[in-house]
Amino acid sequence: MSNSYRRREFLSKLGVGAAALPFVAGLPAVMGAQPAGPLKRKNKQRVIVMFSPNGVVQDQYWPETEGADFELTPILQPLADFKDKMLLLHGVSNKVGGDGDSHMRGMSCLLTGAELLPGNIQGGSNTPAGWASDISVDQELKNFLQSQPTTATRFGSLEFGVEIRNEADPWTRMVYAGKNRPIAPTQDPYSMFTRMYGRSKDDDLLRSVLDDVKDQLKSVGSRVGKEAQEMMQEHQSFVSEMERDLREAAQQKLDLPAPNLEDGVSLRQSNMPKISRMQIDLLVNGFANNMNRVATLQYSNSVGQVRMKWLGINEPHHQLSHDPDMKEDSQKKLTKINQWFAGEMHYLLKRLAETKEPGTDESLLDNTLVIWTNELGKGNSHTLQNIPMLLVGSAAGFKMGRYLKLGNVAHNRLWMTLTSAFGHELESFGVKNLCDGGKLNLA
Amino acid sequence: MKIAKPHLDRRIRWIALSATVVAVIALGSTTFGQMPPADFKRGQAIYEQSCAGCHGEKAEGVEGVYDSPLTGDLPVKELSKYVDQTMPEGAPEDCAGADAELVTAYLYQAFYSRTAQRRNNPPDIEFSRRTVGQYQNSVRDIVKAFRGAPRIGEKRGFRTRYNSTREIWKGKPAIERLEPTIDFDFGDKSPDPEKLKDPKQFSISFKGGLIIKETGTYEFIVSSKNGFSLSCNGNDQLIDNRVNSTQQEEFRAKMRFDEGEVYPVALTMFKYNDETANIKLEWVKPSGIREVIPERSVSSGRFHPMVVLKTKFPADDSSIGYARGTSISDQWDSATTRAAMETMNFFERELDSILADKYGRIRRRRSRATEEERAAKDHQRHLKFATDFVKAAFGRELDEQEKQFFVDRQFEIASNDLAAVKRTMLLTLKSPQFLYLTCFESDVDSYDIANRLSIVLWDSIPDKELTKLAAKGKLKDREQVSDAAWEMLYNARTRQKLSEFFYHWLEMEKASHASKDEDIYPGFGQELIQSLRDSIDMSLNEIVWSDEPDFRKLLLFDEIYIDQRMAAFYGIEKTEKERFQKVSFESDRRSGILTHPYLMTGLAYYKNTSPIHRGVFVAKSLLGRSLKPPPIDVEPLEEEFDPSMTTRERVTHQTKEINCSGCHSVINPLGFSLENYDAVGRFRDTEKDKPIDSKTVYLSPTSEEVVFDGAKDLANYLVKSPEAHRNFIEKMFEHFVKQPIYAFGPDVLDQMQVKFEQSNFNVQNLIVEIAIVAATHDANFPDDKKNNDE
Repeated sequence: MSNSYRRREFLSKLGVGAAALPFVAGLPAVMGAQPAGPLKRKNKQRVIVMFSPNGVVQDQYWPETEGADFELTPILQPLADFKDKMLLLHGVSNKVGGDGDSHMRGMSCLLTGAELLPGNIQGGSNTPAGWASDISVDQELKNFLQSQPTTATRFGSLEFGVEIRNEADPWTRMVYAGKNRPIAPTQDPYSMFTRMYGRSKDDDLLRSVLDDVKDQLKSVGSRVGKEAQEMMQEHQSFVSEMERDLREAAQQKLDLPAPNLEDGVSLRQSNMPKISRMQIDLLVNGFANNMNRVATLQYSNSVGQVRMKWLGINEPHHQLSHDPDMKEDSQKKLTKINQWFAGEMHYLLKRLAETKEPGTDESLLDNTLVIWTNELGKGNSHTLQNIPMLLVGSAAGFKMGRYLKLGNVAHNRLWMTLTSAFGHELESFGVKNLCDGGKLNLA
Repeated sequence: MKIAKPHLDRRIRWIALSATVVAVIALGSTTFGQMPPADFKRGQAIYEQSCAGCHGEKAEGVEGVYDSPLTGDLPVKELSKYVDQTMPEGAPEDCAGADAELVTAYLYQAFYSRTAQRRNNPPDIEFSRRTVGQYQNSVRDIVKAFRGAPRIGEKRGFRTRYNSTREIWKGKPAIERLEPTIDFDFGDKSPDPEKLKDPKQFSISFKGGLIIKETGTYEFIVSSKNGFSLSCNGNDQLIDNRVNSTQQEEFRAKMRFDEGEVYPVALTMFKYNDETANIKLEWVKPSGIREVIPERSVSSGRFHPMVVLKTKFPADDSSIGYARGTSISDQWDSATTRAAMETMNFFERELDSILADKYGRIRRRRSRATEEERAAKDHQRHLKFATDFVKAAFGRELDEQEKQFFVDRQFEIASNDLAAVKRTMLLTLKSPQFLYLTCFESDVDSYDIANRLSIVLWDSIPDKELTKLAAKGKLKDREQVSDAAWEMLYNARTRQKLSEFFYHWLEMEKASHASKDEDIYPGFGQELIQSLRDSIDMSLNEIVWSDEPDFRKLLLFDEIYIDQRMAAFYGIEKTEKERFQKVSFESDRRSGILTHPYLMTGLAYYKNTSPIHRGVFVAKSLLGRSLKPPPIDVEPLEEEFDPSMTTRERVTHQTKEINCSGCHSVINPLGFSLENYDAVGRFRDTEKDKPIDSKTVYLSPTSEEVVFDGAKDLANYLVKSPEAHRNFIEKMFEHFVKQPIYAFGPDVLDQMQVKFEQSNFNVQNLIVEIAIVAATHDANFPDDKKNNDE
């Protein structure tokens, strides 16, 4: 059951409707009126969960030195610019257990912290399973932010995808609106464009051919009889009207104009680098225009088999990730793949950092937390321990610029800490007994 | 019977004398209603002497004296009576008796009648755009230019593959066979304990093409407790329910389909540790019928996705009886734009597959070509596609200027090949060359003729063969055009267009929405309506596509197709297994379409028959008489008005007013002759315990009075009536050409009527004749002179 639901229920028992929420004075912090604990909360808070699959090469990812003086390992190297804004957490584990193989649970329990339902989908091992049994943390936060007029936005959240296998199953879905309710990410930047700006990207293409259309009507219209000529002129006037409508639609009031996406980029694997950048541009623009406060950016899927030929890698990613540690060539390629993901994250952070909050001197990154995670700790062992958790940005009020080893804590507690940082206190998230010990101290 | 009988009896006796005479006249005349030339001259002389002063030399009217032209609907006899008694004004005795008859006959033939009006004021061929239907067909046929027309084939049912594991595509299938329908409940057992040994896990894949006979939105309903996914027409995830942790057992998804097309569908299910297994695929058709998708609607062939336009177009102007594209509007312009975008997006989705199939694959693995060589080849493929797209849409080869404008220029402007191809598609579909049906050059060339033939016969663009004929210069004389038209006739699009003609001509939409009183007609419902529709379609198609496609058979056939539902409802014995069986059905009382229950059902009310609807239908649709709308809005009398009255008595009573009787003297008798068929088309002898009276007298436009006793007499009159023939030709012409027949010359209808009769009323001949006239009316054929000399 969703915690936000429980919260609403509690309030309604008090006789207070959700709309009256900001006016409820004197309620404790659990009601979201005041920040909890020692964290200093920002006025505006956003979160992005970025996902890439198949675990990481351990010694290429994890630094040796704890604390502020941690080394930038090869995989983290592309993010050097943001070292002081990083919080890298070692020792966070997905301990959910239950039905489903590691990849399935790794993916569908990642953001839900809840068990998979019994089902008919069989992985490489363990029992078959179905969808996750509860809401994911991004959606929990979205619901919380949407419930208050000061933080509510047009969409609440937007789910971006890049090169995800075109089937719906526990390996391809990490975002859940609730039990049995997976949310599919949008893989096509042009579809996302239409959704965000209420007009199709193809409208721009259309607008750019309308001059040619008018030329044709003019030149052909001169070759027909009088009656027909009148019809052609009428037709031209319709085309002019359409041109004007399209121009006006394209100039709608936005704090930041819509990104100028390249036309005709088809959804194929070789275009993954282009599509990644298009999606990031859209994501950042959505934040700048306050369309949403929550976003996910999912690269491929659990067991993802992308062949990154633009890196000179012809083998599929998951297949490589099964190769033993001694197979140096494979480990090099896996490192390269993760460096590519880090590079995309760098582009995302850079775009957030160089985009100003409308009307202020702050950057979007000042009010955003980006979390880059994975469904596995390590590919060839399929462990769900030490899941990569790289947090960048200032939105949560965590103390950044550090590498922390947390031992072996359930990731449920990290998600409780996250919601709390957004002012949303929960007694538990996902599997209840995995929340023992409560929030983590990241201050 | 108090009201009408004495009057009627007198008339019947009086008319019986002349009935045989009329029949002889009607049979003997080909060009209908013509006066002997000598009489014509005498009538003309009288007119010029006594009438022209007030009415004008050509009956056009004289300002300030008698402004209106002399045109109208009155039969000659009525008009003559009027002239005899009232004209010339102030001195009616100056023109009476035989003179009045002569001058009236002259006036009627020269100016007054509808035929005369149209001959004297011939309409022009109107500048037209593609109609909505023509636009939609054309777009679908552009797809076929790249994909080929779907081959439906003979085999029906789903290509089905059973696998002994949960993964359907792993290894060899255990069973491969055709399944007629998808409706299985295996319980906890295996579908085949021998070949699929493990009842706990197996998978099944069903594939086929949905044969669509009715345009509209279809809703799929899949019932299963297991994992499954349904894909249709390129939509891979119409329903993706492979994960079954939801306990939901019924899943729905909607799709729009177009009549005459075939859409690929695939349903894959698997069982894995589930307790039981079941799968059922149903649809709800646009008519509202829910059924397991029947075997007859599934081709076992392989099909490509077809573009489905969701854009709603504003309706074409149908105010003069047929849809035509003679006006444009803002809504039309934006609809064509949205449809162009939909088409572009469809091709964008299918492009990789089309490029590979049509212009060759680009091998990436084990290819020695360099990346640059591959890119160059890919660029060439896109260029070819763009060029072929414009060619298909315009139905012609492109000249240099066109190729430069529609193709080359777009590749220069766009940032990549896909964007360029998209620009070309949009520009083509938005161009006047595609949207308008006219040749923009001064001379009509072979491509124009090809385009006209295809728009007339198919409501669409020329196909590859036809364009090839034009390119080879094989549409250069009437014989060649005729050969091409005959070739084109036997095409699914022509069949569809002819079916649409019947649908329109026979006002079938009335029956398709009919609802009837459940107490009086228990068991009548949407399913039966569908059966009746199929039945009448089968008869019509059988006749017009037979070796003797004789128009008269449409009105005279005496065997109908019945299925189980019709058999049960109408009490007919059905012996054969096939869904439809042809049987003799009350052949002594029924006659062709006239008495087919589908028509009778549509032309009737909820409880009762409607002689007025039936009469209007026969008068307008079958005899081509022009009836003015009722002068006042009249609600039909309720049965409660006088429960003892029969329907005929009630109608007679209500229409006896002088304001009504003008038209109803034509309408009522035609309608009454069908009173033996109740509101669902069952034969009846009595109504309210009174015998049905289906004897009537019909007054023709030439004032001949004909006696009918029931539907068979009416049908026999219609098949011999030149009026009915001319009407059929004209309606057919308008439906196929979407222009008035008189726009193509004053004598076209007369000539066609002669040919129609000479060919034993051959409907196929007629269609080809219409296509030739429409395609070549202004062509300069080299052999024209020779033909004229002959």
